[in-house]
Order: sequence, then C-alpha cells, then structure tokens
Amino acid sequence: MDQRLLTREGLRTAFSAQTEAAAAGRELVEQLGTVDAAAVLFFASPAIPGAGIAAALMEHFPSAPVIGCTSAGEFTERGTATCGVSAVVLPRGVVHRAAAALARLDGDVERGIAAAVAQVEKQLQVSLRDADPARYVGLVLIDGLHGSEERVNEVLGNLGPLLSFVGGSAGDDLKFVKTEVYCGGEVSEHGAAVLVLDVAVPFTIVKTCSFEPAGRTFTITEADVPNRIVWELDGRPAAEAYAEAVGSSVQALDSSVFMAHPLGLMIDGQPWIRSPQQVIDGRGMKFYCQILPGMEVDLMRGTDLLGETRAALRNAVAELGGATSGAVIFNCILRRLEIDANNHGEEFVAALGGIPAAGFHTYGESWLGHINQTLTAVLFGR
Amino acid sequence: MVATAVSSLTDLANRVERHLNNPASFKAISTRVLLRTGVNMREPKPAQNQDTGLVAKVAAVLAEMGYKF
Repeated sequence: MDQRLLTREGLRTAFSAQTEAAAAGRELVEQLGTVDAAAVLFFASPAIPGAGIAAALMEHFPSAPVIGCTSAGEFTERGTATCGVSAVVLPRGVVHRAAAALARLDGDVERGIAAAVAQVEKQLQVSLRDADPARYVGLVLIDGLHGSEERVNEVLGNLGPLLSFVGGSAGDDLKFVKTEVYCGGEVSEHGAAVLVLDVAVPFTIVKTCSFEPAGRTFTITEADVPNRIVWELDGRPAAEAYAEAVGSSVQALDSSVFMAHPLGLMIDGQPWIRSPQQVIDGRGMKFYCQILPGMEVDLMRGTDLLGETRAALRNAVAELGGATSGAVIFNCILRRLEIDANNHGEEFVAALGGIPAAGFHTYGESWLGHINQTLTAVLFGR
Repeated sequence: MVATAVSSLTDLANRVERHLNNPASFKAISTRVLLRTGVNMREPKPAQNQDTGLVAKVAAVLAEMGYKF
C-alpha cells in the first residue's frame, strides 16, 4: 500500500464475503461504522439478494440515497473477490448533497431516464443542464444485458450535456442471465440507477485502458448498429478483414484474440475501446458496444494493464493536488479476466495505491458514452 | 440579426466553441458528438468538412443536446 496516497479521512469502504443478505448487510454496516453519509453505493454478487443489502444500508444510513447493482466481481482497496459484496460511503465532508432515482428502461429508455433525472432535479432543486460541471457529478449503474447503455448515455448527455456521468453496467458473474440495479427499496432487471452528487471537494474523472494502436485502421462500411454488429470493415466481410489484420483465420477467432485485439475509436490520441464478442454468420462481428458506419477505428494491441492503472490513478491524485478522499471505480470484466489469467489480483489491488475505493467488475463502462475494456472512476480530492 | 447557415464542420465547431466559451466544456461536447456520430468536429477530415450530410448529422446531435445553430 502506498502511504503517500492515504488520507486522514475520506470515503469509507467495506467488503463482505457472507452469502446471506442480512449477514452481509450486518458485516458491511459494522465495517462502515458511524458516519454522516451523503450517499452509499454497493456492488454485490448475483448470488446475494441485493435488495437485502440495500435494506440494511438504508436502515443504517437513513438520510442517504443508496444505490447498487449486481456484479462480475467486487473490490475495495484491500482486496478483490467474487461472490461477495463491496460498499462505499461518501461522507458529507466529501459530498454536500446527493439525490438518486431509478430509471425503468423496459418501456422507453428516453422516457425512463428523463423521469429519473426529473426526480433527481426536484430533490436537488437544480437543473442538470445548468448544474456546474465542476461541482456536480453523476454516477450511473445500468443493467448489463439489455444493450441500453448507449441510449442511456445519450439521453443523460441530452439532459445534462456538460455533466460527467461515470459508471458501469451490472454483471452476473459471467452467467449472462440476469443483472439487477437497486435504488433505495426499488429493484430493476432492466433499469439504471442514477445518482447525482453535489460535491464539496475537487474531483476528477479517470478513464484508462491498456491498449495502443497496432498500426492498422479500419473504416466501418456496414453495421447493424442497434444489435452492435459490424458486417463490413473497409468494404470487406468484417471477420475476414479483422482476422487478416491480427494474423489469424476467421475460424480461429476466439475470445483470447478478441481480448488481445479490440478496436479503438481514437479521440485526442486516446482509444475509446470497442471489444469484439463473437463472429456472426462467419462474416460479421458482434461487439460489446455500438460502432457506427463511417467511423474510423484502430486495431489495438495490449500494453501494461497494471502499470497504466497505477499511472492513471497517480496522475489523477496529482491533478487533485496530491491528496484524495477516495474513489468509486468501475473495471471491465474483460480486464478482470486478464488480471485473473495472470494471477494478478493482488497486484491490481496494489495498483489502486491504497486509495480508499470500492468498485466492481462490469459488463461495460460509462463516461460520455458506453465503452469496453476500460476502467472508469470518480476520484475525490480533499 | 439574421443567423447564417452553417457552412462546414469547422464553422459548426467554431460556433459551439464560442457558445460554450470554455475549453473543457467544448472538449466534453465534441467527445460526445464523436462517440454518437463518428465525426470529429474539432479536426474534421478535409473530405468531411463540407459534407452537408455530415454537417446536418452533427448539427442534429448538437440540437438534441440543446445547442441549436
């Protein structure tokens, strides 16, 4: 643990490996202790009924909004695990006020998000469009299996274009059957928990991935955008062009190739990752995020996941003047799989540098849009 | 004052930049636009800059975000 990054007071974090909700809730509450909470977040294995966790946290922190979701692994600055639950309290010294609402997305995404934002605006008595982006920040937890993330981010961007909403897509321990988001006493399998913070300290957003351009650029020439399928790259069957670029055959394309070589939309020299999922009908490629016709994307190659994570967080702390109260972190499941494959769980936790933090391994990350194979975070100063 | 028609992506970007009058805000909005359209209005390719279809597409996304020019 890096002592230089520790702070005297800050976010309170907790972890429980209990599989029964009431017992896990008790353990979290015991670890979190007594604190004037402005907001509480939790990230739970789908094996643990999240509504029970939420109830325990709401009882202990009655004046704070509580949001959470199911995960594909949970972590704090002290460890990473699966089949448990992590939680974080944002104290009033860090966050003046907070408001949360559940957006139900099973009817119409725009209507659901707009209704949730209206509730948040009413509670905070501020219009997100007019809210100062240096003072307010949003966190959003989106169910991970309905493919609504792009539209959720677009609508949030329409309603509060200058505000950052950072977050992740709920997971279910790689079962891909059901994910849930929680807001207060409400639960949704197709929804988004929206939390807006009126922050009392400086804060910054972290977006980091461990990829660089491999020297091959493609133009998307045909795509089924809603279904996240790319049919053609540079006018050729997508799988064929991609396989050739990675030195493989279409038949040999599998998750290990896809994880090592996602595509990146380059913005200001930084990749916004789009991860392939599978070959479709022997010619198309399905991704974990939309790619639009006309977009130019780069083939990516891996760099140093641990080193880049460590550097991104250190840079963020430096940006905040060298001290941090803590962070809420969203880390892609594909990054977790890479970490697991290299037996680097402890090293990943060490890369957090001892910053008080809680987060989960996600089915997608959010910031200004929907991205893959990335770590996003909000880091709070002092 | 009569508003003049947007002539190019550069013209549109200049209008957005002037309206926001904040480099960080302009960067956030142009990133949102790029993620939603694939068009980098800050550094458009020469072939894109006066493509009326692309200009209209970017203008429509900006309008959805409340920025109408």
